[in-house]
Amino acid sequence: MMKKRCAAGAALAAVLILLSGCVTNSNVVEETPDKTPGEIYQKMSVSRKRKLIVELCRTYTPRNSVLVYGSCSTNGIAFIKNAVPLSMKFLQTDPAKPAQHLEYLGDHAFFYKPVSPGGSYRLYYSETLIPGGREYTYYGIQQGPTAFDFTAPEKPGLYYAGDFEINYNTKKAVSFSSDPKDSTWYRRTYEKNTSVYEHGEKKLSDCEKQSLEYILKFYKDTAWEPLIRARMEELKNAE
Amino acid sequence: MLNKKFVILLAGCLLAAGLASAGEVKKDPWHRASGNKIAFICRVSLDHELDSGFYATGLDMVTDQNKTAGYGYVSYDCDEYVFPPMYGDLGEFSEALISKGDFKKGFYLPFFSVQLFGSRIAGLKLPLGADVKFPEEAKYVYLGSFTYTLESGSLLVTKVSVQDEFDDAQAVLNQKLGKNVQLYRAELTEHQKKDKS
Repeated sequence: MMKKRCAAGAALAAVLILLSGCVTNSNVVEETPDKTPGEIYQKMSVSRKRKLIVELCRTYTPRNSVLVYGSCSTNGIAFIKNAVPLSMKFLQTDPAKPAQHLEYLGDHAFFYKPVSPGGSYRLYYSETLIPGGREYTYYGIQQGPTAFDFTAPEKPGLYYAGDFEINYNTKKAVSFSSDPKDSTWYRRTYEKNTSVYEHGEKKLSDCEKQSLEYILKFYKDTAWEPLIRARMEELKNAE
Repeated sequence: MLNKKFVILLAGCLLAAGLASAGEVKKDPWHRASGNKIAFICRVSLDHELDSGFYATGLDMVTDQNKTAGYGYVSYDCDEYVFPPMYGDLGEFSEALISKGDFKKGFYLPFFSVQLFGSRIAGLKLPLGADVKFPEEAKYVYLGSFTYTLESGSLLVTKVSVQDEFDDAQAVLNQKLGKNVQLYRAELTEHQKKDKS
């Protein structure tokens, strides 16, 4: 009898553990090569990116993920200040969150594929056009922080990372350098809305609107579309 | 100046290795220190194994997940990136042959450079910050055995411990070369900045 009680107790405990596991894991998106349609790279065609995003959005939904977007459109006066990253690569560094790799996707408006809520994303490699050449920066896993690093909000949904602008130290501008002094990116957010330049900056809400219009091209007909449109409406009404 | 020469040598070694192996981390078999060469022996390791699946996924290098991490030396605290040749597998003893003409009695070793998955893009810096000195007559020099503790996630170094594994290093050296040679201990001291003027 005692044995049966123990067995029943153990079975109940096992069921509870399994159930609790199901509950706690239901919102975690585990990315593995088998489960996802593959990485989305900047160099891919728009149609290929769009196709992969639509596939990816079956797993990464507004209920379990964060869609991060931003812009590099603050300055539009001097041609050279319009530079945007040619390539940026990020890795998720919080061991408590699923491993994930991200690429900068876009131009003056950009986005990443949807990310894990609460994940810490660190820039580990970038390519940027600088006066006199192209700068390849190997930040590595340990370096940072950079302006582009971010921690995704714990609450799933949209997240505007801000507007980014680059400042050059032309004296140090050389190719194949890893010294972040050569060019430095700065981030402008609604909380810290100051530009590194003294003139020419766009309104941040205009930068965000431009970014939303851009990401809609990729996230149309996915579960993210209503959120993007709602945010666009919100910004329009705030004018 | 001497340090710069040393760096140029290291870069040259990597270029040669890179051409030979097209990006693969290449570790030469051990050689006798002939002519004006000096062989440096050391062991660099981590105190716990990294979650290679986690970082391979994050760095988009899943296909390279099982490649062994290599380590090499960087001879001065550089502003610009140096391509260090990978002399050894992380956790194993290694031999680095350097020309004596590139330094007199010692050099500055600010950090070891590690390439996870055999790739520069997955580089780690393991700081040491030591001036290395050794006897003038030495042909084989044991630098030490260095074990690093890394913070989880960001992999920042939280602790470095130095062990004396001289006897093990001597045994490995003799076995690799197939003959008994005289190994000397290097003296590692805290780096003293030199006046540039």
